[in-house]
Parts: sequence; C-alpha cells; structure tokens
Amino acid sequence: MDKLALQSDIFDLAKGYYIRQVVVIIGIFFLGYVFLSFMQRRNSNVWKALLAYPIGLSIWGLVSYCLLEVGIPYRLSSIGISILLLLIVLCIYFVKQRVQIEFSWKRFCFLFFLVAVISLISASGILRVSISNDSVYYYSVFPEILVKTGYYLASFDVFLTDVGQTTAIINCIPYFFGFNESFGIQHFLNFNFAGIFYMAVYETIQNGRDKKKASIFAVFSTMLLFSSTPFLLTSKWVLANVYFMDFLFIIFYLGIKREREKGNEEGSQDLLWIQGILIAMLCMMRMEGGMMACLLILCISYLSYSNKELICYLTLPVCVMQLSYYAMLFIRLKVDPLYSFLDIKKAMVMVLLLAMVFIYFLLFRNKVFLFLQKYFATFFIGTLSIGNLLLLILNTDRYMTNLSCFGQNIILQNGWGYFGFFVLIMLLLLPKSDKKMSYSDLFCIGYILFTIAVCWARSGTLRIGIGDSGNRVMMQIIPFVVFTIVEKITELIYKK
Amino acid sequence: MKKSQVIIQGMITAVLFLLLFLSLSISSNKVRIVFSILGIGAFVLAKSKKINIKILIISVMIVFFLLNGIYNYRNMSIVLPMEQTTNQTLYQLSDYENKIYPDSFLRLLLSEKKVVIPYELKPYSEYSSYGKDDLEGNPFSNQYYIENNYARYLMTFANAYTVDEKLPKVETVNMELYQDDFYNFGGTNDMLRYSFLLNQEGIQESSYFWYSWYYFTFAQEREQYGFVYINMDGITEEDVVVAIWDKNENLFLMPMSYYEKEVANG
Repeated sequence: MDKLALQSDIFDLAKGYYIRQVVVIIGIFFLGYVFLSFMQRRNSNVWKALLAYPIGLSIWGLVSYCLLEVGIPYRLSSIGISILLLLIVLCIYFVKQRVQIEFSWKRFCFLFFLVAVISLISASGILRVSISNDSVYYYSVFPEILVKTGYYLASFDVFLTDVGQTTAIINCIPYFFGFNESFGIQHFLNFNFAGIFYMAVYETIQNGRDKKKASIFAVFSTMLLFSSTPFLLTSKWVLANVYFMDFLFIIFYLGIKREREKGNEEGSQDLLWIQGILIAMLCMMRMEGGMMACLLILCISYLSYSNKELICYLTLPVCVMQLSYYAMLFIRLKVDPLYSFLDIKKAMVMVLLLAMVFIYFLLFRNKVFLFLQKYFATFFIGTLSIGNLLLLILNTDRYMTNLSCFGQNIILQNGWGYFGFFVLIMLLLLPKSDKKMSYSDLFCIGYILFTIAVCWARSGTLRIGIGDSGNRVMMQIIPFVVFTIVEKITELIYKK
Repeated sequence: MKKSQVIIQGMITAVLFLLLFLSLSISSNKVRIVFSILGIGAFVLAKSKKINIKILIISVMIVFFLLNGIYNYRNMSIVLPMEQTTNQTLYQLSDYENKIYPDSFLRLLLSEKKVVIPYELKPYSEYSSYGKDDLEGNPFSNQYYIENNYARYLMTFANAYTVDEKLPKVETVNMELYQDDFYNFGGTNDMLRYSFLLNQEGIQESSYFWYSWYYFTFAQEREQYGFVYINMDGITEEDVVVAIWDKNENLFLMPMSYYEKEVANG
C-alpha cells in the first residue's frame, strides 16, 4: 500500500486528537493547581506550578484506582463526580483551617499561556518516542479494555499481576477523552521534570549564596541530566519507568526541601501531604513499586521526620494501596495466573516488609537501640549488603548472572551511553568526604542494592540488552546520581 | 583525618580504579581510548594539583556533556528505535512496513465505526468439548476459539456492532478472489492474546493459560498465524465496516459498500 495514502487515512481517522490531548494536559495541570491552591499555605508559587501536573495526574490516578478497587463503574461521570466531591471536601477542610487563597489574574494568564505552549509542543509529535510491545499491550490495549469494561475483571489475570496499575490508569486518559495515545502527556511530564530538577539543583546550590551562579549551574546540571543517554531513553520510552522515575525523584527531593524549611511549619506540613499523595500513586506505578516506596521511606527516615509523620503520611498510603490491591486481586477476584510477576508469595513478602517498616517506626525508631540508629546509614547499607549476600548464597548462579548482566549492560552501552564511565571518573575525582553519609548517597547505594535483590526475586535471570526490565529499573537511578554528584560538587566549591 | 578513614578512602579509590579498569577492558576500542585518557588523565592531574580540582571537575562534566551529544546523535536510534508521531496515533507507518501491531490500526479504525460480524458470541457450553476437560485431557475446542476470538475483540473495540447472520461463516469464507483489493497489516498473534483477556467465561483457570495453550500447542499445528487484511478503499469515510474471518483466522475488513458490491454478489 502506498505510504502516503495510508498516512492520509491515518490523519483522517485522527482528526481532532491533537487539540483534545492539549486540552486534557492543560486540564490535568489546572486540576493539580486548584488542588494545591486549596492546600498550600507557605510554599512558593513556583513550586505550586511545578507540582501541579504530577498532583493532577495523581488525583486522576488515585480516584480512578479507588473506583476500580471498590467496583464502582469506571466511567467519566463517576470520575468527574468523585474528583468534584474530593475538591469540595478539601476545600472545606483546608479553608476551615485558615487558608486565604491568593488569586492573581496576571499570574493565571501567564501560567495558562506557558502550559498551553508546552502542551502544544509536547503533543505535537515532533519529539520522538519509542514504542515497544509493552507500550502497545500493557499501556494501550489494557487501558482501553479497562475503559470499555469499566471494571477490574478476573479474566485480565496477568495484566493485573504484571502491569503497573496507576500507570495503566494514566494511559486510560486518551480513551476517555477521544484520542489515541499518551505521548503528549508523557512529554509534558518530561518538561515539568526538567523544571523540578532545575529547581532542586538551584535550591541545593543557592541556599543563601550567589543566585546567578546557582542558576547557571542548575541549567547546566539539568542539561547534563537530559543529555544522559539512560535518562533520555527512559523519558522517551512509552512505559511505566518514566513516570516511576520522575515521581520517585520528586518525593525524594521534597524530603530534602522539607529538611531545609524546618522553621516553616505550615509549608512543611503541605509538603508532607504532597509526598503522601505522590507516594500512594508511585507504589502502584510498577509492580515492584511498593518495595521501592518502602526503600524510599526508610531513607527518608534518615532525615528529621517524626515517627508520626513517617507512619501517617508515607507508610499508611503505601499500606492502603498495596493491601487493598492484594485483597481485591487474591480475595475478591481470586486471580491466580500460572506465570506472573506478582503471586501470593511475593504479596506476602511485601505485606511482611510493610509490617516491619510500620513496626520499626511505631516501636523502635528513636525509642530503643539508639546506638544502632546513630549509625543508621551504616546499619541500613550493612543490612542490605547482608541481604544480598544471603541471596548470593541461596542461588549463586542467578545472583552472579544478574550482576554480570547489570555490569555488562552499563559498560556495553545497552541504553547507558557513557554514563557508567562518567560516574566512575567523577567518583575518582571528587574528594572523599569525612562527614557522615548524606541522604542522597544513602538512597543511591540503597537503590542499587535493593534493585539487585528485587531482580533476584524475579523468576529467571536478567539478560543482556536494553529491554530487560532489570536494566530499565536500574536506569531510573540517573536523576538521583546526577543530583548526588551536583551536591558533592556544591560541597566542594563552597567548602570553607 | 583519622588513619582508619585514610585507609578506607584509599580502598575506595582502589576499588573504583579496579572497576574502571575492568569496564575499559571489556568495552570497545574507541570507548577504551577516550575514557582511559579522560579518566586516568583527570585523576593524575587532580593528584598532581596542577589544575584546580573545581575547574577540572567542571571540565570533565562539559566533556561528558559533549560526548553525550555525539553518542546520542549517532547511536540512540540504533539502541532503541524511535518514532516521530506527528500523526497523533499509536499506530505508525513503520508498523505497516514491519507488519506489526495491526490491532493498533484496527482499534483506531473502529473507534468511530459500526462493525458487522457474522456471529453473536456463543458460550463454551454449546461446544462438544464442554464438560469433558478431565476426561479427554484436552479441554479445548478449537472451533470455539476460531469462531469467537475475533467476534469478542471487535465487539469490544468497535464503537458499535451488529450481527448479520447472512455474512459468510468461518467454514465458507474464501477471499482468494479478492486478495488484490486487500492490504496485509500483519499477523494477529498478539492481537488475539487480547481476545483471551476479554473472555469472561471462566472455563479455565486463567486467560493466560488459554493463551499459552492456544499459541504454543494449537497454533503450532497450523502453517501460520492469521493475518489482518483490510480493504482501504473509502473505508475511512464509511460508517459501517464488515468483518469476516476464515478457518485459518485471517481477518478481512472492508467497507459495507465494497462488501455489498463485490463479496455478497460473489
């Protein structure tokens, strides 16, 4: 068939899709923005704008997820009513608490213009994407079936045990609003993430120092991140990894931001709420999301969060999301595929992990074994290392094959470009600090050890190649590594 | 700094050097040369204190940024195929050329159309193998899947559907005469996997199990998987599309006008 004729037919079929996607992106942004306007008291307008889109996606995702979980028909009307009710409840709650909502037409118009321009570029299709089998079936066909049926059904079996559910729910958006793909939604998040990373670096460097220099270095660091091959590939690949990586980084950084704003009690409370919403979304974005969320929460506990904050705002949302999902999957629907990533044993391990985290915060942290907590970083990394050692002993072949695959994928540039070499050289050059391990260091090392362990628990070994899911999960670490390096350089430059 | 800290830091440096050496030893020649010079050179410069460490680190970052640019420009599309998606659809022209994801096109095509199919779904209990799962070892009726897979799929993804019993049934469909009017959009293996996803009869423990059996046992016995053939002549303008399929699970889609003019009148 003539390519031009087919192209013209496709254009005919896709009439109006572009503008619909643009309108939807703007809608998601302002949904998040309105939500944040109700709840934010002291945080800056820049951060309100930067967090609006991830929060908008999270509201859509969490409301949809609740409807599907409970078995209420998943229709645009039920989602709309639920979001409206949620906003009304929040409005009453937060307005009662005192918030005077500032509104400026000038700011609104500027923001609208900016969001419209970025969404027009994002959805235009000029930015390239990579589409693979999982993009088509896990994150397009399955979401469309969800929209068509309106319920979780037992017959979806492996799609309930292998697919990140909140990512699939984000990918339902095109089918609710009459377009065909979510590339624009993903690219908009990439642009948004550039802003978030820039601000994260800027605030890290600036911290009372020269704003101009901080700004220049933040731009350069963001460019460095966005030029890194693994980051670029992850952000362009239509899969769950990009959402997972971005959300994980946002929650991670908000921990640092909150630490810096200790004096600002209201602002700090707002950040906790935001972290809670984002982590609820994150833990269902990939099948190992719950585990990664636990790792992040444990790392956050290295900062000066109270046990109550860690339990109520971070651990509880993960518990609710994970446990309700397992209940729905194994008790209500009785799904039991023959071959799947998530089975009842893994679900039990996850429940056990959550229980341990919960009990640790409830009974132990800052209460007993204080000498261990004084050396939390060493203890944490030590425990993860011992865990890895046990896995090595349990199945040496699988562990070593996985490790070798990780190494070869990085060195042979299976999606990694020159990043591995860059990190090694930077680590050699940067002076070794004699101060205690930083939160970022702890997270990076923990992430690597944890990923190796999680991949061991997968049935079968990893393989050499960019498409291997273990390799993709490892590639998600890039923003954290770049941020940690920037932190160290800042420390070096401003060392007294 | 304490003596123990100096020892630990020395050990870390040694491990990093070892890792860099190992990495370089298994990488390609070009990479080995570039990063040996960059890494070892920078380290020596840093230790000899001939250059300010801050300037050195920022220079390495700039070099890395430039190298990234070159690498991404030359290799990224090779490492992972990329598409410019200005047509606003999941289905790309390259998919047509590679004969993959025909279902992406099908979903796009049918999202606003009414499809006419030859069967209403028939429950499994109407097939001869029903209830004989344990007795005969093979619980599956091939005919059940052949007759219902596409019907289930099209009923789900089309905007609307009707059943026309006059349309030719599986056993009688023979489209060889009209082959030239149809374009082959590719194999339906993965597409059919999703008809299993839509099967809510619960006659086996899981749809993935059916899928495995269907494609690793049953389909192996056939010469080839089915294909999607579409007659594109005016199909985008017409509201009604006819779908029929043969016993080899080749699916034929055509505009109603074409069907009435050519196929129905035989």
